[in-house]
Amino acid sequence: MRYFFITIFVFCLFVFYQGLKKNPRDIPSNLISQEIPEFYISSFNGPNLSHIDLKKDEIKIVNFFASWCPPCTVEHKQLQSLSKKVTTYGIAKKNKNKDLSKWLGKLGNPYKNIGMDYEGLVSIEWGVYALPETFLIDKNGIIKYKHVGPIMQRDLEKLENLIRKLR
Amino acid sequence: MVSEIGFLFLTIVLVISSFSFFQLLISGTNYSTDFFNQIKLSNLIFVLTLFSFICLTYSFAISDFTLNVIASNSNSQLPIIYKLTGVWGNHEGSILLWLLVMTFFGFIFSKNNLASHYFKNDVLKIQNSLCFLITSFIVFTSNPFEKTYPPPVEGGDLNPLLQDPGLVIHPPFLYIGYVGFSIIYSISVAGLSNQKKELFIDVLKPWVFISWIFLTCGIGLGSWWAYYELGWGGFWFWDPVENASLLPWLTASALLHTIVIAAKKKILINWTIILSILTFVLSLLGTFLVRSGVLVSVHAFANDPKRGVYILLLLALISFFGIFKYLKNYDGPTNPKQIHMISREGMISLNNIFMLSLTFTILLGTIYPLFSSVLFNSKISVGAPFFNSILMPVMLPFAVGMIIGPYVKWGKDDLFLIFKRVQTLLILFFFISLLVWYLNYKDPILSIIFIILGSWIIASSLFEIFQFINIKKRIFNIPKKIFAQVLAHMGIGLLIIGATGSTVMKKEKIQFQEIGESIKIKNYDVKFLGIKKVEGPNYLSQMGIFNIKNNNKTVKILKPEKRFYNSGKQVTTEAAIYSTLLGDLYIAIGDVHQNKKQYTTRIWFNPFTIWIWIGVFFLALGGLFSFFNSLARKK
Repeated sequence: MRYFFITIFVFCLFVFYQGLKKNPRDIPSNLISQEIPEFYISSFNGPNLSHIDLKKDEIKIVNFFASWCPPCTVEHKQLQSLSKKVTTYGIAKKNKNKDLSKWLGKLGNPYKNIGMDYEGLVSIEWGVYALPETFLIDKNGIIKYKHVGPIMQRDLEKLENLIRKLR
Repeated sequence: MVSEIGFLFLTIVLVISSFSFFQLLISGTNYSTDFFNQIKLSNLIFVLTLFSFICLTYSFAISDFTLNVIASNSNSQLPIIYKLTGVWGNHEGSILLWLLVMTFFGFIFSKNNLASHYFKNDVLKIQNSLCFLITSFIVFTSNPFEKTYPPPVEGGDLNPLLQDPGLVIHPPFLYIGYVGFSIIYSISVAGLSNQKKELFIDVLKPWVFISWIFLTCGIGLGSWWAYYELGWGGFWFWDPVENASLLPWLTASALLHTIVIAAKKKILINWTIILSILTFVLSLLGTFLVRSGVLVSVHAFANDPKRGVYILLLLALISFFGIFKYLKNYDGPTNPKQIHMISREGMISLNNIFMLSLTFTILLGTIYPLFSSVLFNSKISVGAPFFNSILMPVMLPFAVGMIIGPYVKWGKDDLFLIFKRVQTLLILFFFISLLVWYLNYKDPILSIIFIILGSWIIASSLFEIFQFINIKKRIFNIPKKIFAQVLAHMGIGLLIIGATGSTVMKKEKIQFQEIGESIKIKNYDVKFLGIKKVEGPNYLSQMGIFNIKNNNKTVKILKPEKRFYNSGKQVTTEAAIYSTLLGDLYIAIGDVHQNKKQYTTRIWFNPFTIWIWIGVFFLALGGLFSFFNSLARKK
C-alpha cells in the first residue's frame, strides 16, 4: 500500500516536471487541416477581401492584428521579413482606418491586402482569441498551421521551414 | 543603499537558517545532539527577515527604480498606500512576505508555554529548515533586491486590477493562512518522533484554527474582490489559483474536525498527522501551480520555468520528508478502539471522507489539463461545469451530515434516540421547506432544493442552541465550542444560499443602452442618465450614471466606471453594486457604440449574494470561538 502511494506521488512529480517544459498557452486550432472559413469584408485599400482571395493558387499567411495591440507592433519587423518570402494578408480586428493608416505609415506595410474586421466577427469565425495570431495556408486554401502571439525572431525559422516544406 | 542592506539581511537569514537545516540532516529530530538553540535561531531569523522586509517596503515607498521589481511593478505617481502594498503585488515581494509570515509563526511558537522545551526545539528546527528552503528560493531565483541597470526614470505600473483596497489585504490574509500550515506541518512531523504522540495535539490545535481563520478570510476577500472588481458578475470562477487556495482549506477543515476527536478521545492521531502534512503539501502544490505557469490562469505572475523547477524540488523534499518521517514512526493503529458509525466520531469521520473526496476531485480537475497535455499531448480545459456538477451531489449528503451530526452523541448512539431528539426540528424543516417553496416557486427546482438545504442547516444550528438552553436551563455560559460549531455551520448554510442565489437564480441583461433609456430587471428600473469623465489620481475614468427605481421610487444612483490607467495603458472595470439582503443589482459599463449614443451595459440581479460574505464572516467567527476555546482549555 505504501509503495502504491509513493509511486503515485513520484509519478505526479514527474508529470509536473514535464509540464514545466510545456506552454499551456499553446492551443492548437481546430481549423488545422480544414478549409478556411467563408467571409466577406471590406478592405483597407481595395474593394474587399473574402475567402476566395485566400484560396488562390499560392502559399500565404494570414495575420490577425490591430494597430492598438502592442505585441503586434513587436512582431511587425519579423512580419516584414516574412512578407518578402511569402504573400502576406492581414485582417485588422476592430480597427479604425485612420489609426491603421497612421500605424502602417510609421512601421511600413507588409500586407498585400488588409481586411477590415470592424465587428470582430471574422476573428470569431477563425477562432482568434488573442492578437496577434497568424495562420499558414497552403495552395488549396487549407489551414496548415497557427501561431498564437507575436512572431519573434526564434519563431521565424520555424515558420520559414514550414513554408519551405509546403513548396 | 537601503536595498543592499535588505539583501544583506536576507543573506544572513539564509546562513543562519542553514544551521537548522544541516542540523536536521545530521541529527534528525533529536534534541540531545544539537549544537544550536533553535529557539534563539528562530527569533533571530524572524527579526532579520522583518528588517529585510522593511528595507524592501522602504524602497517601494521612495520608488527606488534601481530595483528591478520596483521598476516594473511600481510608479512614482501611485498613491502611497498602493506603493506600500505593491510590495506584495509581484512575485518576488510576495514570496518575501511569505517568508516573513513563516518566520513570524516560528517566532510566536517559540513564545508558546505549552510545549516542552525539547519539543519546541524540535518543532522550530523543522520550521527553521522550511525557512531555509524558502530563503534559498528567494535568494537564488526570486530576489526582490535584484538591480536593474540603467535604472529607468519612471517605473512601469502596479497592475491596476491590484490597485484596490480588497487586494491590499487579500494577499496577507491568504499568506498567513497558507503559511500558517507550515507550523502545523512542523508540529506534526516533530510530534511523530515523540514518544507520546497524543501530547502534541493540544499544542497543535490553536494553530490549526488560526491558520484556518486567516485562509477563510483570505479566500473570502479574494472572492469579494473578484466580484466587484473584475466585472464578470460572479464570485468564484474555478480558476486554478482559486482552486489552489480551496484545496488546503478543505483539508484544513477536515483537520479541524478531526483534531477535536483526537484531542477528546485520543484516537485518529495518525490521521491528524497525515492531514496536517497533506494540508501544507497542498499549499505548496498550489504555490507551484500558480507560480510556475504550468496552468493557464487569470492570475498573472511573471512565470519562469527555473522557479517552477525549484518549487517542485522544495515540494518533493518537504513532502518526502513528511512521508519518510511518518512511515519511519508508524507503529500500527495507535488505538484499537473502533469507531461506531452512529456516533459523533462516526459523523466526523464521514465529514472527513466527504471533504477529502471533494479535495481530490477538485485537485484532479485542476491538474488534469496538465496531465492530459503531458501524457496524451492533448489540450483540454476543465471548467466550471465540471466542478459545479461534482460539487452539487456531494453537497447533499454532506449537508445532511452537518444537520444530524451535532445531535449525535459521542461513543455510541442509537438512530431512534437521535430521531426523538430532533423530532421538533423535523417539523420545523417541513414548514421551512414550504415557506421557501412558496417564496421561490418560480425559480429553477435546483435552486429551491439548495436554498431549502441551506435553511435547514441554519435552522438546525439555531435549534442546537435552543435545545442546549432547554436542557441545561441556563441562557448564559453557553460553551464556546457550541457557539463555534453553530456559527461555522450557519456560515456554511448562508454560503450555500448565497452561492445558489448568485449562480442558479441570477438574471442577466446585456445590451446597448441609450442615454435616457430604462431597462427593467427583477423589480428594478435602471435608467441610464449619462456619462461623466472623471480624473483619478493615476487614471481617467468614464463613469456611467444610473438611476435605480424600485416601485417608482428612486432608491440609489449607481456609478459604474471604466478606468483607463495612464502609464500601464490598461483598462479596468469598476462595477457598481446596490446590495440588499435579497440580492445585488450589479452594473458594469462597457464600450461606446459606433453611433456614439449607446453604451454596452451589463446589468445583473444576483439574489442573496451578500449572504456569501456574511457566511464567510460567520465561518471566521466560528473559527475564532474555537481558537479561544482551544487556548482556554490549556490554562
